[in-house]
Amino acid sequence: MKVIICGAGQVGWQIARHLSGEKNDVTVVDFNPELVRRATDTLDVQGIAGFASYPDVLDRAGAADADMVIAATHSDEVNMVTCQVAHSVFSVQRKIARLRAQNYLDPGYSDLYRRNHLPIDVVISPEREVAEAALQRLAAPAAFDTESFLDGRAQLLGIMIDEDCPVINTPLRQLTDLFSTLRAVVVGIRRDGALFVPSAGDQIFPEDECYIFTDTEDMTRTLEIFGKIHSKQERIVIIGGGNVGLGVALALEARTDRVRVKMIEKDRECAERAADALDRTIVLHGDGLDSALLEEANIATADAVLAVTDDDKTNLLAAVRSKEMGCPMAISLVNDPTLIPLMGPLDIDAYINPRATTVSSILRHIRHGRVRGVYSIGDAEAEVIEAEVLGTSPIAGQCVKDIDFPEGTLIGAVMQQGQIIRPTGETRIEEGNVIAIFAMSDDVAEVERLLQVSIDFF
Amino acid sequence: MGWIVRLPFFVILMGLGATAMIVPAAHAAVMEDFDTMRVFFYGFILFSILTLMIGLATAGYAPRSVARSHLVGLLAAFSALPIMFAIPFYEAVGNTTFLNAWFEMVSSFTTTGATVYDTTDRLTPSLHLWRGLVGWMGGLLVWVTAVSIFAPMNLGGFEVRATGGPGKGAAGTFSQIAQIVDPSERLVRYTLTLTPIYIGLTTALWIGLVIAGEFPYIALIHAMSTLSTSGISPIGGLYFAASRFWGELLIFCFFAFALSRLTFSRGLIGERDQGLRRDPEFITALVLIGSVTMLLFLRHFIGAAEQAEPTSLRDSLSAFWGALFTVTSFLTTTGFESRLWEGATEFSGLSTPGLFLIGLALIGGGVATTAGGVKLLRIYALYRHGEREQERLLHPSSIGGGGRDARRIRRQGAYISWVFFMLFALSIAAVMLMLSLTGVQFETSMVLAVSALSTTGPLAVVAAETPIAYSGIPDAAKAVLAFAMVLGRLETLAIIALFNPEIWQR
Repeated sequence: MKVIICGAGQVGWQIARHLSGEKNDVTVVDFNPELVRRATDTLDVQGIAGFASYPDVLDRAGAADADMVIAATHSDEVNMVTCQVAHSVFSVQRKIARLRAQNYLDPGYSDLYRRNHLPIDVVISPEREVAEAALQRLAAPAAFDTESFLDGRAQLLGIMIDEDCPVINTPLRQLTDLFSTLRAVVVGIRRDGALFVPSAGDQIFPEDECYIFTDTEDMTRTLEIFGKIHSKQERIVIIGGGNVGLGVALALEARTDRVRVKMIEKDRECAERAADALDRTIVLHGDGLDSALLEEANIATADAVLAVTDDDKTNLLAAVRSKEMGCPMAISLVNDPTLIPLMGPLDIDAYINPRATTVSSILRHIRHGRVRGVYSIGDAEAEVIEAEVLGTSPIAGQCVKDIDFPEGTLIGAVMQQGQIIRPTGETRIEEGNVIAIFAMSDDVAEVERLLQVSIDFF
Repeated sequence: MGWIVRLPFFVILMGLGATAMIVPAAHAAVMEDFDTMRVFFYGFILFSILTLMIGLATAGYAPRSVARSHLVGLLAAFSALPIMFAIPFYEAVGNTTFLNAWFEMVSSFTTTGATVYDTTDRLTPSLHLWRGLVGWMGGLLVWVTAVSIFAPMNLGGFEVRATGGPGKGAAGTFSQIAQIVDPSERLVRYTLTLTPIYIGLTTALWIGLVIAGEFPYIALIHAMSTLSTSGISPIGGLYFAASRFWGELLIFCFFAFALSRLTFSRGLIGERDQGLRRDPEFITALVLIGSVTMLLFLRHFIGAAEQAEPTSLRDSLSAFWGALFTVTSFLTTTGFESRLWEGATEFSGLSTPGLFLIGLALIGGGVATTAGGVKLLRIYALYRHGEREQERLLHPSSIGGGGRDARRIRRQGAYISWVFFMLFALSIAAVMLMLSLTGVQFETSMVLAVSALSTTGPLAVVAAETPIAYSGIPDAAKAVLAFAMVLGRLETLAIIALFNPEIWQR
């Protein structure tokens, strides 16, 4: 597939890396030749330096025979025009644009993106995705990573195993027998920095990071079994009042259980904008690293702190300071993936990587077959793919044990007729089922092949 | 017609005032009161010729600052025009001093409605009509000048929301705006827009009152004094009105036009149209009326419960209506007293709390309406500011929400409101002091000062322990009160703005 990616920033680069790794013909377009050179140097992609929305630049990038345009430049308007040009001039079939401004995303105006208006097939909003990710983290405070699948009925939890975890040093096979009614599967373990898919005989050790797929109803129970107490959060402090912080605060205000939110924002204008949009939330103006201001926000009695400013270091330090001042849980937004190993030593409970969330949502629309959701784990080490099984797929109608899955894959959950079931070897995958598969990066292509329409469909 | 517009503002007003003398003349002719008719008709001829001559003399007048000229013209209108109105009045009454006649006209023109002729048969119907008409014209003048002179200069309550400073006008110059409309053109435009509304509303109320059973002539004066919030009545108040409850209900509905400008001139001066339901002034007014009425009613109710006699529902309801109507009437600075107000007192056996009414009259009605007082918008700004300061006690670095406008009202708006409030309080103190110097008692002088500055004349009769008669106060005190009425009508800020360096510097 030939893909043009406009914008070689963080999101554009990450998508280019994913797509080029899957043998796609990728062209990166960016205004900044330096960024283009960096992409062409490190990835197997072509690069064009130029203004993404100019027709001649798109022409040089090969838009005439491209299958897809992904517009992820920093400007919403350039992204929109790029999609329009790709549609009107080059008749590109699929167009994805990243739009940041919340006004463009108002559901009341969604008619705008219809084919004969402003032809954008998929609108991606990083801020909105990140806000959602932040809310998920808040919902499962004990997990360092969460994502929901199957219409929110199943959750992927990343859990750090402690010394006092009740299920350590036990083979997974025995765990299945012990908790036979629990709909949860351990799909991945990271031990000493290496991620692998466990087999039935593997055991869990302290210091392991476990990825567990669980039914949403069983989430609390699963966390308890793995030694985590699920506590309710009533007081939350948000540091950073940009689109992300504002989105989270708005979502928290909309909840029926009264959550008391305080927000700290450094920029006065930004703080005023947030204060205007929010009703019950108290917006404080000042530096989130200032201990006096954190005290004013009553950080000691807060249940969680969410550091979502645009500066990674501020986020990390604010999270550390909050924990030091008595906040039991800290979640930090981290753009730079190389900072993620610092989470452990800094005692930050969870992180949100906006790049990963954006990339995940863009990838969801790139995959073949009836893929409904893709979540990228770690630094693109593995993916969780949620897909509907087509009648013509090679796995339809087969038992799980008979399917020729590659070694690094595991089925996390199956949804049959609206019921979430835990897959066993005897589970038969039927047409129309929705499955969530955990797959190591190397095996993603093979999983896709299994999910795709087989050739005799045509 | 163009040359009329270019005449000084005061001359135009003088011409209009002279022309208005035809109305009582015609009325007197119909009533076969030929002495009064002659006096007013001669007044019309005399002052028309005088206006014409002044008009000819000032035809080439080109003021350096049109805005300032208008402001001075307005000040002159409120202080000098009553002299002109008073001359035929003085002649027609016959047995009065000119000072009394002048006081009466200042009081009418500033929509205060305080009268020294408190015995009802002292004046003929045509003279009562003249009082009502002068008050009505004063109300119209306030309506028009508020949007056309005060609003562009950020005065008269508009400074609370404005971006620029008071007395300065809109901030910033824009290259694409090549010419700013001449204040005279603005005056003409708003006059043409607002006058039909004002006349239409008055006519509607007049007809309504007549249908309710009122005598047409009394109904007309009541309608005019409701719209202009002057509270002038030829029969000594609504207590004696023939229309009884339904008349009061109608008048009550028309009080709304003194509570918020949005009831009659929506979107006139290019501000964001937020609708009456979200208008801070209207909401503040409703909250004030509701809470004070409930408080008064509960007070009466408890007072009635302490008495042994059982109270009937009818008594309670009429006490409630009496409180509601009177509270609204004094908040709009009209000063009509419901005929059930006294009933409320009898029902409970408690005396009516005049201090409540003084407070309400001080607060006053909406910005750019005919009401006087501190104005609801300023009260709202001060309330918001106080609320915000309390929040800041808990969270010193918190930021208040509500949008840019709300923030400006809380900060600059509250500041300028506070300045105005202090000026108002100082004016009360100064007027009280001057009244005391003329030999008026302390309490009496307080009630008189508030009633003059808030342009609520009937307050003196209702609010004090024993009714104060304007006829009984010394002449010097009348002069002080007349001055206070003009001050209260024009607002201290507007007079201070005359001394603004931007206005008088070359």
